[in-house]
Amino acid sequence: MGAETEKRDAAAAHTPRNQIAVFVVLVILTLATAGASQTDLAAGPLVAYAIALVQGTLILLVLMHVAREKRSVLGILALTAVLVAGLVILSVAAYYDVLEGSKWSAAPAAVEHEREDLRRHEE
Amino acid sequence: MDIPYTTELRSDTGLYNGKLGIWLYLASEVMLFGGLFSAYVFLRIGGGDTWPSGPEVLSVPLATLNTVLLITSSMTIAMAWASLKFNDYKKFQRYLGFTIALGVAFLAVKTIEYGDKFSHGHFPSTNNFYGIYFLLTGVHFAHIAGGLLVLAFHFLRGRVMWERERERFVNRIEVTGLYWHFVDLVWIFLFPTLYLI
Repeated sequence: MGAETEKRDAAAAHTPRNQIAVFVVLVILTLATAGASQTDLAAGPLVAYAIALVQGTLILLVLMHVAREKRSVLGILALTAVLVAGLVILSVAAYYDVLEGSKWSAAPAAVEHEREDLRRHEE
Repeated sequence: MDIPYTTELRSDTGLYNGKLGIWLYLASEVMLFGGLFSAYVFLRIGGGDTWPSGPEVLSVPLATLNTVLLITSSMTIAMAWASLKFNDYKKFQRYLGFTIALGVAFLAVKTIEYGDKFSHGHFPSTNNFYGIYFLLTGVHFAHIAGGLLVLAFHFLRGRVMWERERERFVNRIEVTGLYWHFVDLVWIFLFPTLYLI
């Protein structure tokens, strides 16, 4: 496909009809997100985030035209996803990586009890 | 001196320089906001029952309005770029003008929200919730403001480059649009995180 044809196709994807369709869907989803949070459903937050994910995907694929982009851009996005996953995993791991028996430990009382037992045994 | 690859595509990446640059920049911005969102998650976990529910302390209607404003502005900037592709500069200016107006409206609503918080004695130093709320929305506010400066520059001075180097100008609008869609994307996730849960 020639460069000029590709550019015109890209522009054609942004016709008023397409844009309005995407806009209407995004607005409906926004109102649905706000509505989901007002319900007493325990899954309300999950629903809100699921809708946000759909909106984000729509913006990424259609408005930012990632769906039509070159492999270089997809490569950058894939690397970013890996780095973000690393950020989250390392943060969670650090949160749970605490010294046993320290005041940040999940069960300091149980560890203290074990130490008391050991001391009595040694005596 | 001619800067290479401002319009012609590089053979290795298949992109012009500006597009490669903006995607790398947006990748770094994902790490910035990713770090801030992580901070929010851990502050919220640590806060336990003391963490206030978003709808109780923040205005969901105003935030919903802000979301609709940004979504609309994303549509208008996309239409502005498409107008340039079809060589219609007047239409481009009109859509760009709408985008700027919507961005300014977003900042105005945000300012009203902040003012309301301050008038009730809630500041970033009040507690962790307000600290992370003001930080997340404040950094986003700064991104919107910076984007508006660039949009305003294109609106006021765009015709000069449009007459001289048309394709290069179109590419500039495309990368500016990518940045604008990104800040919209960040808000799409900020909205439920802060206001709805």
